[in-house]
Amino acid sequence: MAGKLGGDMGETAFELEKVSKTYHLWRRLRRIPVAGVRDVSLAVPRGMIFGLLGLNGAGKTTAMKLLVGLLRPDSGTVRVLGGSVEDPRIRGRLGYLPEMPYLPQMMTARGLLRHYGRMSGLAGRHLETRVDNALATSGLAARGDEPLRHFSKGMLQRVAMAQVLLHGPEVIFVDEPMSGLDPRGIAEMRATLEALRVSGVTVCLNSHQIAEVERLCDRIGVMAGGRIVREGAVGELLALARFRRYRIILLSRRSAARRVSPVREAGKTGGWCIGEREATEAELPRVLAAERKKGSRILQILAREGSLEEVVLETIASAGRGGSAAPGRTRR
Amino acid sequence: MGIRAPLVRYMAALAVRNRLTGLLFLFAVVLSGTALILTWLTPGTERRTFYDLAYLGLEFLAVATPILASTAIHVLEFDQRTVWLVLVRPVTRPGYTWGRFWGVTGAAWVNLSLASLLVGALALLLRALPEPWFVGVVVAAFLESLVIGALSCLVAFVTTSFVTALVVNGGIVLLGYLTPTLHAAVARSGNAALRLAGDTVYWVLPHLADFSVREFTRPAEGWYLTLLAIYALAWTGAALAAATAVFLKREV
Repeated sequence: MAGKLGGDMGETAFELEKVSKTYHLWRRLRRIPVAGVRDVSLAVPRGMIFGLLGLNGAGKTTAMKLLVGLLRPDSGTVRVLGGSVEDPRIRGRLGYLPEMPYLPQMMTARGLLRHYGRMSGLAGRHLETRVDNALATSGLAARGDEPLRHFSKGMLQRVAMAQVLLHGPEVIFVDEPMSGLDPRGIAEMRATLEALRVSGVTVCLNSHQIAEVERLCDRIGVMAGGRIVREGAVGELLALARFRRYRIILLSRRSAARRVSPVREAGKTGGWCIGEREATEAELPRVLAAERKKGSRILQILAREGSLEEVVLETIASAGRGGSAAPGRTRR
Repeated sequence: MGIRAPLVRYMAALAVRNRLTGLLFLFAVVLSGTALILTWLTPGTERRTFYDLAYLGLEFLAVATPILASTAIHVLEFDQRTVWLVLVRPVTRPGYTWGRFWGVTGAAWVNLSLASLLVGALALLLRALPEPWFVGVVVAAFLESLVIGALSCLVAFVTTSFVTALVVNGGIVLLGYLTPTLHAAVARSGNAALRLAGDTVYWVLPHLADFSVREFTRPAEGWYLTLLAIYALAWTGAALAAATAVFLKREV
C-alpha cells in the first residue's frame, strides 16, 4: 500500500489509482498539452472529511471532476464506493458541489430541487418531503418559490448545497464551499459538513481556506503541479518536526542586541532590551548557546506549532524545487 | 429509461422558460394577426393570403424554435456549466442526449401546437375558410422540427460555443432548404469538382424543402406524409445516434 496512503483505515470511499489527465489547448493552430493531474494515487476511507489543498492550477478541481465522472482519465482507475464512477448507480450515491453555484437562474429553488430530485430517482411524496426538508435546512423555506435570479450568492450556494444533500448521498465532493459566504454562512456550512461526518457521510473538501480545512478535515492531501505531494492526517502534518518552531524571549544588553540581527526588540529597560527570536527544533540548542555566550538571559522558551499553512506552503515550495517535503509521507 | 422522463421534463422546462422561445410564439401571434389584417385588405384572395402567411409562420416556428431552444440550452448547460449538476446524477450520456432532444423538440411542438390552434381559431373566426390540407402542413411542420431538433442536438455536442452552434445550425437549415436547387444547378455544370460538391451536399444534408408542403392542396396527397414521416424518422435516428456517439466522448 505504499502508493495508497490512508487505504488501510477502513472501507474505501473513493480512490484514484495512478490517474493522469491532460487537457489540450489550441493556440495558433497548435495543440498544446496541459497536465491536469499526473500519476495521482489516493485512497480515502469512508466516514471522514478529506481536504484537498493546493495553489490555483494544482489539479484539485481536475481530481474532483475525475472523481465525479465529469472527466475521464487518460490512464489509471477512478473508483468511488467500490465501483466505477461511470456506473449511474454509483453516481446516484454521490453528491457534487462545484466551485460556482452553476444553477439555471430562471427556475425557482423548489422547482430546481424537484428536477434534481427526480433525476436522482426520487418521486412522489418522498420527493416533496425531501425538497421541503432541504429548503428548510438551507433556511430558504420562505423563498423556495422565488426565481433563483433574485438570490444572492450566499443563497445560491445554499441551494447548491441543498441539491447535493437532497438524495442522501454517501460521498460528497465539495469544491470551495465557503467561497463568497458571509461569516454566518461559513459557520452554517461548517456545521453542515461536521453533521455529515457524524452521520457517516464521506466528504472530499477542496478549499483554499486552510484554517477551515485544518478545523474540519481528518486527512489532507496537498497537490502541486498535478501531483499529490503530501498526504496524511491533519495531526501528522502539524506534528512534522521541521515545522515546529520555538519562540525564545530573552533579555539582552542593548549593545549585544544591536549586534545580533535576528533579535527583534520588544521592549527596553535601561541598558537592557527584551527581545525575541525564533528557532526550529534543530536550531534551538545552538541558538540558546550563542545567546548565553553573548550574555543574554533566556526568559522564556515557547513551543509554537507550525501552522498548517506553513506546512502546505513549504510542501508546495519543496515540490516546486523538486525536493522532498518530508520522509515517509511525501508523495512523488 | 427511468431517469429519462425527468430529464426530458427538465430540458423542456429550460427550453420553454426561455425568453427566446416565448418571443418566437409572440412572432407567430403577430404573423397570424398580420394575416388576418391582410385578408381584409385583399378581397377575393382572402383564403390564399391568410393561409400563405399562416403556413409561413408554422414553417418558421418548426425551424426556429428547435434551433433557438437548443442554443439557449447550450448557453445554459455548457457555457454556464449547469450540465455538471445533471451529469453527476445517475444519468447516462445517451439518456442526456435523449432528454435534451425531446426537451428541445417538445418546446418546438408546444409552440407549433399553440400556433396551429391559433391559426385554426382565426380560420374559424373568418368563417368559410376551410383548408383541407391544413392538418398536412401542421404534421409536416412537426416532422421538420423533429429532424431539426435532432440535428441541433448533434451540432451542440460537436461545437464548443453557442455562437458556432447557431451559425452551423443556420448553415445546415439554409443548405437543407437549398439542396435540391443547388443540386440541379451544379448538375448542369460541366465542372466535375462542383458536381461532386453538389452531390455531397445533396446526400449529406437533409432535404428540408421537402417538408414545405403548403403548395399541396389535395388531402389525397396524404401518402406523401407517410414517406415524409419515414424520411424524418430516419434522419432523426441517424442524427441522434451520431449525437450520442459524440457526447459519449465529449468532456464537459
